[in-house]
Parts: sequence; C-alpha cells; structure tokens
Amino acid sequence: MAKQKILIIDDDADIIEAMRMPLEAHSYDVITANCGKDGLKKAREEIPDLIILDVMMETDTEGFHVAYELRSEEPVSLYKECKTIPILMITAVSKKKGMKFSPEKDEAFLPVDEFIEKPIQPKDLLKKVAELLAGKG
Amino acid sequence: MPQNANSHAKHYTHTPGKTSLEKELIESLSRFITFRWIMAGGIGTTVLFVTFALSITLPLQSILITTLCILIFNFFCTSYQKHVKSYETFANLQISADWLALVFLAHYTGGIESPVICYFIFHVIISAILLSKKKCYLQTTFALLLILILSMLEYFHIIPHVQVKELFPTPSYDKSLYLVAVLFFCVTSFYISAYLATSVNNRLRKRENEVVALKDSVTEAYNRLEALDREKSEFTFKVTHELRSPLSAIQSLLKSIEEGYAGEIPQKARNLILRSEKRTGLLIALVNDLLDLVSGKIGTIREGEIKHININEAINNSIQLLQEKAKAKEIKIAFESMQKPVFIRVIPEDLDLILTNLIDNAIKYSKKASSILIRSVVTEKTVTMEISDIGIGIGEEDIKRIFEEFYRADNAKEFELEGTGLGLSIVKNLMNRYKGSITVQSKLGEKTTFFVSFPV
Repeated sequence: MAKQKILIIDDDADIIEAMRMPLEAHSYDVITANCGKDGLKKAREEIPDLIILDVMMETDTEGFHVAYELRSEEPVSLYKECKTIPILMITAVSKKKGMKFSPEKDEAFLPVDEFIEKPIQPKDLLKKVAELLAGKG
Repeated sequence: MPQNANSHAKHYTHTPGKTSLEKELIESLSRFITFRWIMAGGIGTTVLFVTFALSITLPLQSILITTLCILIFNFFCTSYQKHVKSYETFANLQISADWLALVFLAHYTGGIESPVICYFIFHVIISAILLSKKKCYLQTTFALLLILILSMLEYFHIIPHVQVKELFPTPSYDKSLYLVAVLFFCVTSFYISAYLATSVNNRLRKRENEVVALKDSVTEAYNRLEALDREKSEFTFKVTHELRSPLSAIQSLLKSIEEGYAGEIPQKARNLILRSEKRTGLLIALVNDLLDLVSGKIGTIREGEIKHININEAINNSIQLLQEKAKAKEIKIAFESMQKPVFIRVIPEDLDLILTNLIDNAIKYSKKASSILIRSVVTEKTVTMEISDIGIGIGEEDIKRIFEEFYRADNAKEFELEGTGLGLSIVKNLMNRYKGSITVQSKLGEKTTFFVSFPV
C-alpha cells in the first residue's frame, strides 16, 4: 500500500517540524507549505489524503479562507478534486476555556472536519489523523 | 449660591460650550423670572386685601394696570429666555424694567412716603448676584435717580401726589427736610447693600471658579490615566499574544522529542525534557490567562456577539468540560438546576470563561473525594450562580485580596503549587463588563461559596 500523503499548511516551521516527526515515524508522507497561497497550490498539484491547516497565519483568518477555497461549491473551482480531502484545523485555544470551535456546532459555516489545539500533543495528532483517514477510506 | 446638582447637569446638556459663569447666570435669570411671577401675584393680592379688607384708599386701577404690565413683561421674558444672545444685557433690561415698575408702584402708594421704597433693596441684591460689580453700582445709581426724579416731580407738583390718608394723615412729601432725610437713607442703604452683596458674591464666584478648575483638572487627569491604562492593557495583550506562538512551538517540539520521535533519548535527558515541558506548560497557562484577563479589560462588547444563553446549559457544558479533572480527584459535581430554563444576555465565551474558572478553582481547592455543589437562583432583578466546595477555605484577610491580579493566598499556594493567580481577576473583570457582581463566603478550612450575579 502506498504511503498516505499529508499536507501541512502552517507558517510556523517549528510547529510543522513538531508534527512532521511523529507523522513520518508512523509512515505518513508529509509535504508542507508555509502560507495559504502555497498551500492551495500544493493541494491542487499533489492531491493529498489529508490537509492539516493552521487557522492563523499572516492574518487571523487566513486558514478559514484556505478551507473555504478548498470546499468551494463553484462549478469552475480550481480545487474541485480537493473537495473531499479531510481537513484538520489547528487552533490556539486554551484548554481551560474549552473548545472555541467544534465541528458539530460550527460545521455549517466552517468547512473542516476536526480540530486540534496548539501545543500539539503527538498522541492526539496521530489519533485524529488516523480517524480522519479511516473515515475517508 | 446653592445649586442643585440636577439642574446643573441639565443645564450642562442644554447649553454646551458655555462657561460655568454663564451657566450660573442663565440659571439665576430663570429663578429671577420665577421670583417676578410671585412678586406680581403678591402685589395683586396685597393691594386687593389692603383695599377691601383694610379699607385703605388706593388708586386700585393704576396699581392693577402696573401689575398687569409686570405680568405681560414677565411673560415675554419667559418666552424670550431661550433665544437670548447676551444674558448680561437681558439681566440689565429686566432689572431696569423692574425699577421702573417699582417707581410706578411707589408713586401710586404715596411716593416718597410709600413703604414700597424698601423693596428697591431686593433688586440691589439681585443685580449684585446677576451682574458685574460695576454694573451693579450703575443699576443702583439708576434706581436712586428714579427715586430722586419721582420725589422731585411730586415735590414741585409736576405730577400729582397720592396721599394714603389711612397711613399718613399729614403729607410729608413736600417737606424738604423729610425729603433730604429719606433720600440720604436711600442712598446710604442702597450703596452699602450693593457693596456687601457684590463682595460676598465675588468671593463665592471666585471660590466656585476654583472648584470648577479643580474639577476640570481632576477629570482630565482621570481621563489621561484611563487612556494610559488602556494603552498598557493593549500593549500587554500584544506582547502576550506574541509569546503564545513560540511557546506553543517549543511545547510541541518538546513533546515530540519526549515521545521519542527524534530518536531514542536517555532517561536522564527525558526527565529534563519533562521538566522543561512542565515549565513551558505553566507559561502557556499564564499567557492564556493574561490574554483572557486583558481582553476582558480592553474588549468592548459588540452587540452581535451577545446571545441569549440558557444558563443551565452553560453550567452543564462547563461541568462536562471539567469532569475528567474532577474524576481524577474523585470529586462529585452536583448541579441543582431550575425547572425552567433561564436565559441571560451574554457573550457565550465570556460565560464559559466565568464558569470554567470558578468550577476549575473549586476542583483545584477541594478535598479529595468531596463534592461540589452548583446552584442557580433567580430573583426579579438578578440571576445568581452559586458554586460551593468543601476544601481549604479562604482566610478573612485573603478574602479581601483574592480578586487582585496575581494574588494567591498562602494556603492555596501550599495546597496547589501551580496557579497564575489570575483566574478570579478574569472573572471579576468579566462580571464588571456585564454590570454583574461576584462575592464569596468562606472561612479558613471550611466551605467556600462563590456567588456570581447577572442583572436581568
């Protein structure tokens, strides 16, 4: 079986690195992009099996825009083939405060499948990645 | 002069851009006009009473006509009041008109013999209050001239003298010595009154100006302080926000190393990494708390963010969120919810923050295997949530300080090493935002109950 390909879109190289290590150790193929624009380009070219996307990059909402582009309903969308790729969104919400976003509650306006909080816990990351990929398969 | 705080405030909003002296003048003028209604009414009733009850013969018709003129004049003053450009001229005009009316009244009630002459003193005092010192003396001189002219006209029989026989059986207006004596008393008493009244008034005015200047400078200092505080909070927000990303990155990297994704590491190194992780974890908690605290301070509530929230649901959600933490200490959380759902208007995240902070505290400082009770109480004006725990309690001295930023009671530090000392400040700030309140009931080593009340 071919390695499953994961695209990480994040402007923080260290966060990418922190995720890349456990993912590669579990035989995923990791490709990265350091901004929304580059991320969209790579998504179209590589058609990954999963996209991990940071909410805040250049702007506080860049991640949202990337997600909207990928899930666009436009018939002429450049990202038609990416529409079904699961998206795992990275947020920076405090644990105590609770989840600010939840897929059940915000599904209607946020086209992502799951959330993960920073700082990244490798176990949590691997569990969510496996679940999303299994769901897709 | 005494000023009612309410009317002062009213004037402030009605006449923006006016100096306090002008505002005071406007206020006094409107009082002066009210005073004239009473005066005119008083003259009318007195003259009728004197004529019909005491049977003193007076030129009733002329006096009533004069009174009517005063009433008409006052009516104009009332309606013209709001369109006046120069209040000082308006005051001058009114006082002069009053002198004239008084001279006529004096003439119809016995000229220089009339007791009405005494009433001139009132207007000397009024002009001292309303006008500048110089204008007050000018007005007083004008009044004295009017009295002089009246007495001369009557003395030389240019106009007829009205003799009130019931009061003064023998006329005195044509006796030069009497005339000189009365005029002398008028001149001295008027000028002395003018002098006393203006000096008292000047002193009051000076003091008032000082108070106004003081008030202005205090207000300015307060505004400046507030702006500075805001600036400081905004700066703190930016800085802490900047700290969050690198801290998250460090923590994430450490976690990956610790779990062996960067290759096998010796146990000693692993222990050190665990320590580092713990410290960064605490730093992240501090940064998150600081962000919550500061955003509660600088954040203004946007109407769109406020939602009707069922507090029973919010409490249940927060309990759910912290259930695991409670279980680890074998703590039971009981919620006595109301039958009916109760809604408050609040930003959902703010309410979550308030509840999770308080419940988290309750768990943190509870004894092992104890229970936490949460209740909601609704009254006509407030919705109160009570969170009680049986734990370490709060000492009397600490109760006063626990809402201070970074303050942690000694027994709390001893019991639970970790803590930023910001949780309760965050809650208090948010409660202020909603004009609510937070209070606490506790004793050292006993039950602790926090009450948060939202107005409805």
